Amino acid sequence: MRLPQWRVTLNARCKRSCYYCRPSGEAVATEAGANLDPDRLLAVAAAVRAQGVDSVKLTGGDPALYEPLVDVVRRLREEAGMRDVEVISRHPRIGELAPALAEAGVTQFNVSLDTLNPQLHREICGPDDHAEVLDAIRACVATGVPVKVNVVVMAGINIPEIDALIDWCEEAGVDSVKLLDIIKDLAEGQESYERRLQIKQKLNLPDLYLPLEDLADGVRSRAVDEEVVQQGGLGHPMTVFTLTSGMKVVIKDSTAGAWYGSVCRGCPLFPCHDALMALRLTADARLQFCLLREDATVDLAPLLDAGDTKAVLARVEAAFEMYAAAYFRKDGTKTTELAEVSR
Amino acid sequence: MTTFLGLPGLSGAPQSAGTAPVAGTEPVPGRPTVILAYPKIDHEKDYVYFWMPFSLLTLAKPLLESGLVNVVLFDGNQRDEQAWESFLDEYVNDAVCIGVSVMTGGGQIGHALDLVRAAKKRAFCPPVVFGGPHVNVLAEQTAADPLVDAVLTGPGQNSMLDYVRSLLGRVPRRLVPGLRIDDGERVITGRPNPPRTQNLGAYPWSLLNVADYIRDDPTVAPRTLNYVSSQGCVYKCDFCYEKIYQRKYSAMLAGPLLDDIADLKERFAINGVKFYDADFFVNLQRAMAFCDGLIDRGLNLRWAASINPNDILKARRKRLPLLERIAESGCSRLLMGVESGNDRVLDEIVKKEITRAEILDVAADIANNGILGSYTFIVGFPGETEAEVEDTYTLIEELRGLDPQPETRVHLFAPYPGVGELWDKAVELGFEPPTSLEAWSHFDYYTSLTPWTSDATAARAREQTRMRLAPTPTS
Repeated sequence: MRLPQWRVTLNARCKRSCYYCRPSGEAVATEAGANLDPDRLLAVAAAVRAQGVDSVKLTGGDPALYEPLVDVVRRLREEAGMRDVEVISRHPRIGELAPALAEAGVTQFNVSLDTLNPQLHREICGPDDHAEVLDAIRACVATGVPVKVNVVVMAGINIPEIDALIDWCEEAGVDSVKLLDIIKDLAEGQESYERRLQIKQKLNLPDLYLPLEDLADGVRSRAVDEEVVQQGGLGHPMTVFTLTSGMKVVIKDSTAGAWYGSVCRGCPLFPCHDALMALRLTADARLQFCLLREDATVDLAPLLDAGDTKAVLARVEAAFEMYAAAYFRKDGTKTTELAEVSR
Repeated sequence: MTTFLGLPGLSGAPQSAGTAPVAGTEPVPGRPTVILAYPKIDHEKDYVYFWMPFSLLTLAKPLLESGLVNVVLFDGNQRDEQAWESFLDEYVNDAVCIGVSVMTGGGQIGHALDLVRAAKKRAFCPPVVFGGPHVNVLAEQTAADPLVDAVLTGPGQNSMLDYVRSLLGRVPRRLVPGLRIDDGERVITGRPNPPRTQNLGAYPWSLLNVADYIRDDPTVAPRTLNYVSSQGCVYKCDFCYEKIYQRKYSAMLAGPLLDDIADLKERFAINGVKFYDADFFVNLQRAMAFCDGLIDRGLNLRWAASINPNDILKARRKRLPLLERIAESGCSRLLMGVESGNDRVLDEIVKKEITRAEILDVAADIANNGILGSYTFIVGFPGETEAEVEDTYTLIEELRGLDPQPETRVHLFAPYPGVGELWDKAVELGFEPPTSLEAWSHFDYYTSLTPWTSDATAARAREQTRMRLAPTPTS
C-alpha cells in the first residue's frame, strides 16, 4: 500500500514571511492564532497509526512557537506509538527546546537555513536573527538527535552560496541537507508572500524557480554514493548523495515527477508543482490533501469534538485510500502520455 | 377534490420546479467531473427509441447537489461512437470516474464494453463503475470483468455519491453502499445498499437535450415525454426483475410529481407523459391524487402508465373510482402484464395472483372507460405445456374483441438470474446461462434463449404482437 507522509501543522503562524512561503505555512489558509488541540492531534494520530503509518512530521506555523510541543512529542511516541517524530522549524527557539524534545523522544530535527549572509537572511525571512538560527542548529546537533537542514534554492538569491551552506552544515555535524526547489504555484493559493517578494526583489515567485538538475551535478562531484529514495511511495523521487563526511545531501527536484490522485481531477492547477505528497492535519483540525486547494480538505473538528472516534477513523481511512490509488506523472508529460493510470 | 387524501404537496401552492431546487448543471471550474454513460440498446427492429436515461438522471441529481463534482451525461441511444470519442476528449482528463448503467439484454452490455474499451485506451482513464439492473443480478461476475473497476449494486442514488466521495478521499470504500471491487487479486465490498430509494423527480434536465426525447406517440400525444415516478413493485411475479428490489416500493408523492410534470410542460411544451414505472398504481391514493391534480390544475395532458390487474381489483374493494378518474384525467393507455391465459401458469409459475376470468373482467373495465389496453404476455415458461400456451393465444383473441381493440405483445420467456425459482427451473431444463459479462452481451430476449422454445414459437409470438404505430420523432 502506498502511504503518504503524515504532516501536522501545529499552529497557524511562524512570525516570519519567507519569500517562498505563505502566512499559514504548509496549511491552506488557517486563522491566525489557531493552535491544534493536543487531544485532537492524538485522536487523529491513533487513526493514522491504524492505517500503518508510524511517523509524523510536526510543522506549522512553527512548532517552536507551539507551547505544548514537548508534551505532544512525548504523547505521540508513548500514546500514539509513533516510531518517528520529526520537528520542522526555522525559529531560534527550537534550539532552546532541543534538549527537552530529545528527552521526549523526537527522532529528527529539521531546521531551515537558506543563506549564510545575515542581511540576506533578514531579507528572505523578515526577522534579524541569523546568528540565533545558526545557534539553534548547533543546539539541536548537540542533543545527538539527527538534524536535517532544509535549503530552499532560489534563482538570483542564494545559488552562489549552496556549496558554502553544505560546507557549514558538514562542519556543524548536521546529518543531512535537503535542497528544495521553489514551489512555483504556491502563490496560486488563497494567500502567499509573493507581494513581499515583488516589493523586496521585484520578482514573482516563479522567477525564483530553478530546476535542481544542474546543482545535482555539482553535489555529485563531491559524493561517494548516490541513490534515489521516495518518501512513503509518494512525493517526488529524490536523489540522495552521501559525502565523504557521511553527511547526506538530498535533492528534491520536481522535474523528477510526482504523484497525483482523484482529488487532482479537474483542478486548474494540475499538474501542480507539489502534487500529492502528504496527508496533512491543519491547526484547525482539517485533513488537507494538497497545498493549494481549500476545497480539498475534510473538516474533522466536529467529529473530534463529538468524540466520534469511528467517524474519525473512517475519514482518515478514506483519505489513505485516495493516496493509495494515486498515479505517478513525470513533469512535462502530457496527460495522454501518462505511464500509469489510477487503478 | 384534492384534500381528502391528505398527501403532502397537494395542500400547499404548486411549486414552480418540482420537488426540490435543482442544483445547477453548469460546470464549476476546479471541480472533478463524473461521466455518466447510458450505452445504446439494440431495441426491436424499426422501433424508434426515446427512452430518457432516468437511471443516470437519478444519479446526477445527488451528485450535483453535493457540490463536489460536475456531471456530464452521454446517452448512447442519441450519440454514436465518434461522439463518445469527442466526449472523452473533452471530459476524461477531468473525470474522477465513469459510471455506466447496464441492463441485461438488448445488446446494451456489449455497447457498454465498447464504450469502456475506448475510454481505457486513454492513459488518463479514471475508474469505471458499473451499475444498473444487470449488476444487481450478477454483481460478482460483472465486477470480475477486467474492464470493470467497480460495481454498485442496488439503487444507484443511494450509492453513487458515496462512491465518488470514496474516490475523493472522504468515505472509506467499506462504507460505500453496494460497492464491489474485484481487481483479480482481492475483493473489496461496501456495506449493504437498501432497496428503497429516495430523491426521485426534479431531475437536472439540462444535462440532456430534452427535446431529443419528445416524440409523437400515437397512443398518447404528439409531444410525449417518458417519466419514471417510482421504483420497485409489491407484487410477486416470479419471472420479473423487479423482485431484486425485494418488493420494496419507493414513489414520489402526487404533489411533487404534479409539480414536476407541470414544470416539464412549461419548459418543453409537452402534452403527453408516458410513465415507465414498473407499476404506477401500487399506491392507489397516490394515483387518485395524481389524477385529481391533473384535473384541478388544468394541465390538459394525455398520459399512459403500467398497471397490475390487482390494482384495479383493490380499487374496487376500496370503492375508489380508479379507472373513471384515470380516464377523466387524460389517461389514454394502460399497459398491463397479463403473462398467460392459463390459470395454472398464472398461479403456479408466474405467481400473478390473478385468474383468466379476472383479467378479462378488468380489461373490459379498462375498455369501457375508453382507455386503450396494452397487454403483454410471455410464452415459453419452463414446464409450460402446448395447451397452456394455446390458452394464452385464445385469451389474446378474446381481448381483441374489446373496443377500443387492445394492443398485444407476446414475449419469449427470458431467464433472469437471481430473481426467482424460474431461473433454477430453466437451468434444470437445459438453459445454459452466459458465463461472463462479455457473453451476456449476446443475451437477446427477442430471440429464443431456451432449448425448449422453438423458432416457430418465437415466430408466432412475433406474429401475435400487434401494437399501434411506433412513435416517431417530433423533428
